[in-house]
Amino acid sequence: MDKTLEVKNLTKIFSVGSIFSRTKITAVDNVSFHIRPAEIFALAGESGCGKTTTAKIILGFEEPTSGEILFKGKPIWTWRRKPRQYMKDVQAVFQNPFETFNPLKTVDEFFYETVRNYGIAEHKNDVEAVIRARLEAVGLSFEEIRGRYPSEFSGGQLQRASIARALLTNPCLLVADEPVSMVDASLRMSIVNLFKKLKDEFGLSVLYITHDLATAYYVSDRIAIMLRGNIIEMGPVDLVLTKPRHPYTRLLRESVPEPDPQKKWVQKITVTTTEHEEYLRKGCKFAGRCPMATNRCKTEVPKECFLEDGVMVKCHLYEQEDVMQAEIIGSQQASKKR
Amino acid sequence: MKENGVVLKAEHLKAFYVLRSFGRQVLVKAVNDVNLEIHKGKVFGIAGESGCGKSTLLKGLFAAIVPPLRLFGGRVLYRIEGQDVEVLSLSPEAKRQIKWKFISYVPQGSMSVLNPIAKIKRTFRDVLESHDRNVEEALEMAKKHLTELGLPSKVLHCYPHQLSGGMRQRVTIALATLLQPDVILADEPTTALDVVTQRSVIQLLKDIQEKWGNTLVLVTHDMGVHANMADRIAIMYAGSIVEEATTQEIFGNPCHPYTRYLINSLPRFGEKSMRESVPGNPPSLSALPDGCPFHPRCPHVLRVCREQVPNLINIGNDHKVACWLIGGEHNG
Repeated sequence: MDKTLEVKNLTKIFSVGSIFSRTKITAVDNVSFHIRPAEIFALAGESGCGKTTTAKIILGFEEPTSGEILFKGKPIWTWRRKPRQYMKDVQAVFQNPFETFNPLKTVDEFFYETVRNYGIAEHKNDVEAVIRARLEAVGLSFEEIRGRYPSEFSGGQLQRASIARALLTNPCLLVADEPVSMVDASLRMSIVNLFKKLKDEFGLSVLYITHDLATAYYVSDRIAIMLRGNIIEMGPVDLVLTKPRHPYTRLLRESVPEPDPQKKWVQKITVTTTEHEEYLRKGCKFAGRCPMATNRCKTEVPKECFLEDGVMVKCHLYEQEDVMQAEIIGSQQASKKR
Repeated sequence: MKENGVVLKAEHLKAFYVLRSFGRQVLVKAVNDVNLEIHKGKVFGIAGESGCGKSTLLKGLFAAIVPPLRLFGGRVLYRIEGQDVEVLSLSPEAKRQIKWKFISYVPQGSMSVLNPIAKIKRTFRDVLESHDRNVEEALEMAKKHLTELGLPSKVLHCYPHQLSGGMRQRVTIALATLLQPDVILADEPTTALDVVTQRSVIQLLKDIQEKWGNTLVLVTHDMGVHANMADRIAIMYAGSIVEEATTQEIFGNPCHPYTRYLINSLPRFGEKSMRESVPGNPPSLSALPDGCPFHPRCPHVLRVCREQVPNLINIGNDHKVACWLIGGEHNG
């Protein structure tokens, strides 16, 4: 089994507007990717690109319109019969830890609750031992969280507690939806380093959803860039972010402010009018902002092109190349036959 | 203040939150003896982790000290029309007159600053009317201002919820700069925005600053944004400024151990080596440790660090640091 999670042609359509002016928005449009065991897979893109919707479908909060999700090789609906087992294997970490925890309950109550719900330990002493072990893994001690309310923690601490809670069930996959965007830049690294450590020590797979390309580059193994519901570039993180192919990936990559006063932005960018417009665009969703857009981009949806180094890119620019390569391969085969 | 281009000066500013807990008075020392000098036409960055008092400092500079925040000493001077004005002691009416016209403020969280049940144009009209512009003129002015900033003027007819997060933030900035203020105080203007939107917001602030030559005080924890925008950076830790220098100096020659952590912890493209974040947790502002507030987390702690607070001293090259390790002989 080489795939922990496989998402195949996932589509989710939302209807918006009143009864009379109903428009359909394809929030997730034919998305396919997979996550291997002990791999950190990043899903990156602007806000409103469908990355959270994808996470919600994987976690079972939303029903997909079409498409299939395989977990450990079995379709997700077979897991629905034993939802507790699925939830035990797939745990989530959310954006804002202060919203994750009920402010009126102490943080340790959530730990006890999780242990009880999943029947992780029987005896009272065992329960505490399990909680202690998990907290230790994230660099907290049980004394630090016992009897304290969420408001008494700093954002970074509480986010680490939230990860420790997710680890209680020994999950195979952690779905982390923007886990660092509410955390200070100086504490971000403590969370991101934690994912690395968990991957190495427990063989945990992580779906790391983020708009922060700098941490995505630092922590993940493979990355998919999403734009208005489509994955437009996917591959090993070193290739995608150091040698971005799609014009949108290039824009994203250049927009990360580098902590170096010598590297200031010179070029100006055009900004989208509304997300809505881009979603309803025919053809490539980026055509309105793309500096290299042609008429073809505005009408025709680009196909997936697999480049030699294992990067997938969805752009008409590379289809040409693909055609050329295909021709070369074709002619080689033809010459062999001769 | 002499004619040396200083437009804003804070002297020994102390502003604490006064809270009651279990019948006892608790002081949260959010701004603890801060001295600042900001020159005209420059971008001054204030960096630090959340809860270090940077937003409170900005409130102090904007003369918006309202309970539970109380002033415990110090002055904030602005140079307005060739005169030095101490803003903290002004009457509410006088404060109202200078706000938006000379000093303006871009608040944190643009999601919640615009009135959700009023169209954008009404908010614009409110600002203009409160500064004695007449109503007919107001809408024209708002339109002109928006086009000048490159924003579509149709946003005036929208409700806040109809705009995207980035657009709302840019509208808030447009609103804050409507009367072309001398000093703009911006509190985390790009936090919670994604990279492309963040870039557009920064681009807008830069454009405004270049066009009208205002002074910009920028508060954010994102060192990347500071590297891109600021001329000078002050690093704040636990209510006080621990290092202040030009952007080049801060990134090229960080002296305070805290600043070094901040800069070295940043991930960079093309480099995957292990990055350490600052160890430990920020101290509670209501129970600061004795001596240097950073000493419990500092790897190079000395005995003197635990006992005495270091002063902010100039170590040359217009670079100020508050640390016993650096220039200890000048200190104390």
